[in-house]
Amino acid sequence: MNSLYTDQLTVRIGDTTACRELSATFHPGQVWSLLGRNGVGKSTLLRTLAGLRAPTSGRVLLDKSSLDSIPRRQRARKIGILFQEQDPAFPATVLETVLTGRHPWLSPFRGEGETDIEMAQQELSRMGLKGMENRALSTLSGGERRRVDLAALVVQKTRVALLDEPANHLDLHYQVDLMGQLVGDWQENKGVVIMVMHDINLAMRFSDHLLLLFGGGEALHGQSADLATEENLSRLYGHPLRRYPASRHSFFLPE
Amino acid sequence: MTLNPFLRLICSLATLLSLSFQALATVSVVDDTGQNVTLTAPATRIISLAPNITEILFHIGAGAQVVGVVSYSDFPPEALKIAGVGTYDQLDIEAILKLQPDLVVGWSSGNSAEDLKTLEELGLTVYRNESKTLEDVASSMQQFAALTGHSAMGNTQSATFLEGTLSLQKRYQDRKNLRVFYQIWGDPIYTVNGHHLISHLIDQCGGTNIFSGLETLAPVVTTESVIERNPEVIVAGVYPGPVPEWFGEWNKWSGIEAVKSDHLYTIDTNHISRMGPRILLGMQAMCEAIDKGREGRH
Amino acid sequence: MPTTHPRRTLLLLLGGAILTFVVALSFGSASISWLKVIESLRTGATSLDYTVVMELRLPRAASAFVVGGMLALAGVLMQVLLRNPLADPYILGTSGGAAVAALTAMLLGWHSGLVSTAAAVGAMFSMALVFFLARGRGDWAITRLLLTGVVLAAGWGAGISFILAVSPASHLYGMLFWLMGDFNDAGPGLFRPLLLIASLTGTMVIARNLNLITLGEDRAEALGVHTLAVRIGIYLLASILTAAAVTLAGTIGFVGLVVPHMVRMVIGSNHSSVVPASVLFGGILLVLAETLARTLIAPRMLPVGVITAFVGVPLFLYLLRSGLKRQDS
Repeated sequence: MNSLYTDQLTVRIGDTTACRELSATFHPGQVWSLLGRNGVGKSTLLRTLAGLRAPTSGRVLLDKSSLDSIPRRQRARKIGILFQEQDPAFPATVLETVLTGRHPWLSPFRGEGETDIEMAQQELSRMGLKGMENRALSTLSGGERRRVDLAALVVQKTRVALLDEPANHLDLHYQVDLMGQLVGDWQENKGVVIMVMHDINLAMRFSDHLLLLFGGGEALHGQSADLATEENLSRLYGHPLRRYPASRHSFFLPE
Repeated sequence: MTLNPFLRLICSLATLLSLSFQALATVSVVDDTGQNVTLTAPATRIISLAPNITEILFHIGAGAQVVGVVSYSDFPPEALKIAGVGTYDQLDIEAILKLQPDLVVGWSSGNSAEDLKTLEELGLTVYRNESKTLEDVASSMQQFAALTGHSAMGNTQSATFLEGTLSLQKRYQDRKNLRVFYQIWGDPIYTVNGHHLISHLIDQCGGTNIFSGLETLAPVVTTESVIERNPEVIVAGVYPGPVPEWFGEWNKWSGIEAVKSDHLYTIDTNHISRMGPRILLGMQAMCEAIDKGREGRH
Repeated sequence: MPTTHPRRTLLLLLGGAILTFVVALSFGSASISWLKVIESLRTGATSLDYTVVMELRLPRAASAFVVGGMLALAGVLMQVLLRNPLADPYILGTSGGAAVAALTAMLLGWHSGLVSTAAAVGAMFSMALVFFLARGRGDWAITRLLLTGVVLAAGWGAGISFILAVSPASHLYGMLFWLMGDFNDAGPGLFRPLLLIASLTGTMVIARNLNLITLGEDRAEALGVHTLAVRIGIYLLASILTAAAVTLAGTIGFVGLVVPHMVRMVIGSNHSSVVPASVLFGGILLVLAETLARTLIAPRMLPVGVITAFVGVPLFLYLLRSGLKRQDS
């Protein structure tokens, strides 16, 4: 169906091994959080899952086809990625940036049509950016720019969504409500969400599955309920954490 | 014992004579910058720092005394065998010193003033020459002749030269005046203004330089302006060899009188642009070209 | 932020282009009467006025427009390729290679047709050299490309100085004018206008890809753009355009850097508008510069490259200031 999975995947950059011979399946409808300390290789793994980086060994497969065998355009219609930072070389408007997400769906000779623009404006509204279509990105706050990028990812209408620290710069309200909405949408549409998160509690709030990278290639993956233990998380972050159960979720706080 | 008084007289006379011979041998000439240049004897090892100076030196019979020349000293052919001392704007001071000259003839506005000063500071005698007009060329012939012990030939050559120019002037200046366009280069179009010697020569040949009124000595002009001024004769100064492509371009503009009547001529630029004896040939070529222009349509 | 509507700007530029041609044909060192020109057109008889307008000014204006368009387009492409608004068509050394080849040809006494051919060969050679030395993937490849090109350009620059130093004085006339950028009276021919139109069309087709490339290699790839293919294509096209421009008019500076910039300031960074606007504006600017070059000190002529700098600099500064004012408001 829409399964993304890895087969003996090893991702190594320089001296860092993010994962070694990882075989994990990301089923449709699941929400995953990718956790680990800084520098352990989370972003690199995410990029490899997106097909932007060749694995050191092993494969990433989408619906039985290896990623490197899928033509770029097709892949872009199925997998979307939200990057950590924006770095446009030239000034761009909010609307232009959101519309870049429609590129995989537009024919080479056609420009963006009315439907595309409507879609973009709808998302902007949802993100609280209504009326800012013609603003230059440089005039926006960090949080606003993050929401623009999120909008661009949403209009890309992919089943697989890979997000690198999506909650960065976002106000609390957006962190909770917006993220909740987006994640919920993807889940409903039987999509797969994999997010790199550095806030364990936010991760626990949204995801039902975890992929923990301990460094040196060691990785654990599975349901949050099973993996989110004091032992695992303390080892993961190299700092003792204590679990505090609350009404709906548990919270993990450093000692 | 005392000298015989007669013997004493002869000794005094001999001393006097030898002193006066020495005085006769000493050469003192004022150069073109007003400086006094003195040699104890006519120069026998001369370095020429400009191609036209080389030509003049050979012309007055001092060719055999020239031991060093700058590049492009290509006339007469014998000059090509002489040792090189760099280019007129970048002198090879070491080479000059090695040749041990007793006279250096420099080009006042063309050589580097510092270089000439350096040569003087190193003990060499420097004569600064600057020939801007035909009269200057004639006078240079005489000056060089005096410096090199060829006064007789120098005077003859100088006189012949001046006569030649005057006779050309007499012959052509009062004939029907034509509009003349003189071209140094084609891409872009370089010409001369009224202050340039070539423009004076055009006058003396009975022509009018269509760009004589401009302020720059060698301006770049537009094709349009040539077309507008409609010259009756077009003369280009070129190097010997095939006619340059840019000269043939004029045939496109059949509206120009010179093109209509096919009065397009090339003359040897080495003659007319070098301030030496051959400028007489250049002047003759110019006058003849302009005169052909008076013949009407070909 | 630029708020001028792209379509309106394009129409304005198109009108401007026509107007500029009229100006170019009307002014010069010779005073002509338009009545006589029209009469010649009607009756077919030639007159001086007709000759000057149709056979001198028109080909020059046409050359200027085509070269201006090519340089502006090459400038846009270079800025996209290098993700840098300060890039210009000459930054990777293409013009340096053309110049060394052309000056060498002049030194050897070759006639102008062969000089142009030599310039084209020199440009292509330089382009191939940079390309092969700087091959590679990833964002760092851009830095490598830039450094290779800049170093090569410096090398060519030394070559140019050398040739100028050893050339006999008579050859310097032509060489210096060539370097400063100048048109001869010949006209752009058939190939160059076709090249410009083809390049413009092709670039418009991939305009969206250009927008995405400027976002960064990973982002563009993630959206389905074949970045390597697009970058190679841009590089080849920009180099060919630069070579075609330089072989006709020598190294005219400033147009390729400033025109795309000014256009972006007015209509934003969407390349489907920036590209055609730049071509039009580059053409207009260069036609005006060419007209000024032969009328400012008439009957004397200035090299066009001098005028583009004198006109371009204040214009650019003015736009920069008014752009800043708008941003603050």
